[in-house]
Amino acid sequence: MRFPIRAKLLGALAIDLLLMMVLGYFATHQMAIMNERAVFIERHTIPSLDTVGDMTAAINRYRARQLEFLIYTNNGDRGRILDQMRAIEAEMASYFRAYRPLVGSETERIRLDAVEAAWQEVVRTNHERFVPAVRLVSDGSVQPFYSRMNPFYDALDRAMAELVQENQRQAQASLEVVAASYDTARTFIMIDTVVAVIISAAIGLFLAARIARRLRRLAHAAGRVSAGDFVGSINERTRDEIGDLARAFDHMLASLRAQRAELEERNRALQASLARQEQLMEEVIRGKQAEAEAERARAAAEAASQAKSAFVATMSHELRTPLNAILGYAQLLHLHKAVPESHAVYVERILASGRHLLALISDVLDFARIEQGALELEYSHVEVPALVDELAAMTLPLAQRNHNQLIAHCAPDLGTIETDSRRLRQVLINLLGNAAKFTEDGTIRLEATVEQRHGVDGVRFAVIDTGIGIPREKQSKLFQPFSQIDESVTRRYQGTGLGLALSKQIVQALGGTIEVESDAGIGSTFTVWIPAAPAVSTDSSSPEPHTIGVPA
Amino acid sequence: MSFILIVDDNFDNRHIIGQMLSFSGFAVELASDAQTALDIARQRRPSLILMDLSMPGLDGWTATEYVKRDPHLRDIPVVAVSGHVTRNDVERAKRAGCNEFLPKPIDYEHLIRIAQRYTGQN
Repeated sequence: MRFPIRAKLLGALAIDLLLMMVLGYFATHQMAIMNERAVFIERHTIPSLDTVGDMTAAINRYRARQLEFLIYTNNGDRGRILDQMRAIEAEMASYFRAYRPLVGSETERIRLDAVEAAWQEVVRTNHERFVPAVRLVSDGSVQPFYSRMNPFYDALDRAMAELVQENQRQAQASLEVVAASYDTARTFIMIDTVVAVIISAAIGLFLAARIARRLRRLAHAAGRVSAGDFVGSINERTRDEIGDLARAFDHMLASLRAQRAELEERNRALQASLARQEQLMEEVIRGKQAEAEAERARAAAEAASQAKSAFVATMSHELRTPLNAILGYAQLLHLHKAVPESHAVYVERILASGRHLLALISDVLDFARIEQGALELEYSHVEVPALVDELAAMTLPLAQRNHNQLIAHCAPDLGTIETDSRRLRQVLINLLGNAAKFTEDGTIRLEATVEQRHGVDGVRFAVIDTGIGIPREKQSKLFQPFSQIDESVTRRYQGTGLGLALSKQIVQALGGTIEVESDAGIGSTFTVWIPAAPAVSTDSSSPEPHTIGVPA
Repeated sequence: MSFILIVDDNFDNRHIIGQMLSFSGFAVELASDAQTALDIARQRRPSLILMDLSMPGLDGWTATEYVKRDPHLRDIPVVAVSGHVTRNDVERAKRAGCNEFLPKPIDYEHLIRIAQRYTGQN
């Protein structure tokens, strides 16, 4: 079936409508027949019978006038009666004229003709025989004349009776037609109604069953879909509304499948993303934990460092107290010359060792401070030429002890710089002290020059000696704590072993660098460079390098 | 009779300083705590006070502040003598009113130079 349900329903309705129309047409037709018959009876049979009645009455009056004509012998009366007869004849003629159009059949026309012929026979016999005969015989013995008219009247009566009979037959026929039409119509209406009901019911039931079956399939499919089963389809081929619905359903199903597939895909992606997020979260948490641990470790380290710093500071102070006593009493022994000359050297050794220990404690304290970043720098204006002179003056006694010449030189363009004077001094004194210690019968030179490094203004201090020098392989370890070249050196030259390491830390704290160039047996050059923009000093000391002290 | 007042809770320290100054011809008075030192200073007015800083009870910084706030004593120079040699310690001593800072262990020559400078004695 390739028609929409509406079309099918309309089709079923159309069949019913057609049946109704046929029924209507037929009923109308039957009604028309019945009406025609009724009209026929009304227009033909009833007027015909009336006319026949009138005619019968007129005939009877005519016969009565004949009788009067017999009775009245007066000529005047007879003349009047003849006039009356003629009037009746005229009346009859008008009846016949009136009857003619009402004739319904050939038989009736023949019978009417017969009635008219019989009437004409009566009229002709009256005028040709009865009236003349009565005029001749005026004695009143009229009976024979009157009786002679009977056969003509009888013939007329018979013709009239036949006409009436024909009329009645026609009326009967009409009634029969009406009855037949009624029966036919009734039967037809009943059959038609039954057929219409059956057809409608059949079509309705068929369509309803089929639509219900297809709707059930759809409902079943919809149920499957709502239960989450998107597999399969309805595959309706019928091209009607349900077919459209089924196809739309299939389409929806396909769309749902696609969407579910996409949804599942997205879900997978989402789950992957969630897993990744969880992983990231875990990593973040781990990171936070690690951070917290690091923070705890850092705090612990800081606490440890502070504890160490406090320990070092306390120890330094605690060590100083007995050392004060040792050095103090040794000095007093020395002052009072309380020890015999032969043993005075012991007092001097006590003093020297005590001072060494003191230096060691100071260096350790400084080193501890630098290690924990607690070295306080105090920047101030430092006159470089004055500093050079002062350092030279301080170093001179040491240099002279080993018969060294000390040369100090400050570049003429060097004036004031901004730096921590105490720390810079500490470094340079350390370097000069080392040079004096490790050089015998040689030269120690202190130089200060302006030098730019990496585009930064700075001052370069060089301490150059002609001493024992440092083997190349030892140079890299030189700035590490306790790295004097060997035990023998330590024993021979003394020193805290922290001097260079401390110097390096201080120079780095000042933002500068310290380097060494040395050849064993030839000498060493220690170079300190610190960033500082030198301002030319107006009251500069002598621009020429000057030699302080001479070899002993 | 001018004298130098030495305040130190440590017997060795006060004894060594006293001996060194005596050896060089200075008259000295020893006090083992700051309160005693303040009493002596009020009664006999020393020409110089050598003040240890870290002491139990009244400490050197506070005692120096008392000296410097007292209109009768504020002219007496106070030299801090301490093993606390960090920059902060020195600054704190200066803020308390110390005229000079002499680090421990005592260097005889350094001590005598300071004594001579503040007493004007040779």
